[in-house]
Amino acid sequence: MIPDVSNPCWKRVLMSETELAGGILATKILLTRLRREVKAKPQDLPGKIAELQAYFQKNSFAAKDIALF
Amino acid sequence: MKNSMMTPAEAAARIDAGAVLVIAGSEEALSHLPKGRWIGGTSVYFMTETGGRIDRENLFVTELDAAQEARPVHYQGEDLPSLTMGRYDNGLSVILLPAFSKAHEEFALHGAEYPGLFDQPVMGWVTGVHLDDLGRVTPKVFDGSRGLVFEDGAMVLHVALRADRVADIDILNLFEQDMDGQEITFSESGFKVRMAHVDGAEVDFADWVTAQGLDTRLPLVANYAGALVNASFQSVTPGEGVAFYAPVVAGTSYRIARSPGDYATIFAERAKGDGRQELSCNCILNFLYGEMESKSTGSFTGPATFGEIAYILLNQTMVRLQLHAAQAAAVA
Repeated sequence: MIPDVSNPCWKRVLMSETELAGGILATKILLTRLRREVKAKPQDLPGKIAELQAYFQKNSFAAKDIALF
Repeated sequence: MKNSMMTPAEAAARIDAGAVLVIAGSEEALSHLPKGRWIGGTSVYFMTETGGRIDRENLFVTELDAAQEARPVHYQGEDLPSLTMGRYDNGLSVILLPAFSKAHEEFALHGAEYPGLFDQPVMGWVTGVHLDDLGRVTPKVFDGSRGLVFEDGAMVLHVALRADRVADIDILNLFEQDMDGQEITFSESGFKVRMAHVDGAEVDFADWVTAQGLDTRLPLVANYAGALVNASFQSVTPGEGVAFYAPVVAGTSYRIARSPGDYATIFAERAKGDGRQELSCNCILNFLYGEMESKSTGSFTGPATFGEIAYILLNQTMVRLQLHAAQAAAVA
């Protein structure tokens, strides 16, 4: 079950710089791009949360990475 | 997957047998191959089971024997961001880009923003030429299904896997950030920069690199949430700027790499698994700076390339694509 966009885990992971030890490469690269975009334009955070959540909804192979947030 | 160096005649026999292949070799060797289910890219530098070698006559052939179907597609210009379209539900895409082409630059700068890029493995490499031929001969990609050769655009092989197989990409980067060094950031993304911020102070980057006496065989390294991503120095020209083999990204924190020591020795310590079952490539800079000619990277063989692709463009990194049993992947 993928958390809803209102879940604080999305904002937490996008606003931090923590490593995703054990995460898959695709998640790490996507997350880094989204973090960079949020840092450059904080007002875009809701859209980036939606993009990250959509990635996990679409790709079950990545779902275990959410536990690392 | 099966990897091996082959003569053009041996590779042609596999093509005629209907095998799905990714082939690296000289333009001359690739141009003799028949039509079939393959894509190719120019390279004459290889890591083989007997060690690194330069070979203009033979081909490095990877057979994707788990492929159920395969579709080679050439994407160019405004179609490039659509390169994830046309792939199969369960599969992967192998991408080859000619070095120094418009597609190379476009993918390097904007590939991470392409829709759906991270939904399936996208693995590949940047095609090159013999270093003696730089400036005289352009790197190429080959569409084996149509018998065409290109010096620009992305040659992509979309591969459908059997239902019991899934693909996974990983990287092996022997370089780590030297955390005792200074933090380097850039205001603009690109292959070439003039200015940088070093620990917050703006500097002429070429002047700074020169004044520091940096060993430019060591790349800049960024930490992508735990994945270390390099940007390798191409040239440092005071008064003009610094050029890289992969673009630096604005807003990203870089540090100079710590020297890993002898490349072949450290590689042998850190490369785990059976590379004979994988599609992999390594960087020509590791081949050159690691003095890998005649030295072995064990079972991890493949072309030594002008850039490696694991979703995004990488430098001085080995990229590996593995296939797993679908059930094992689901519970991993």
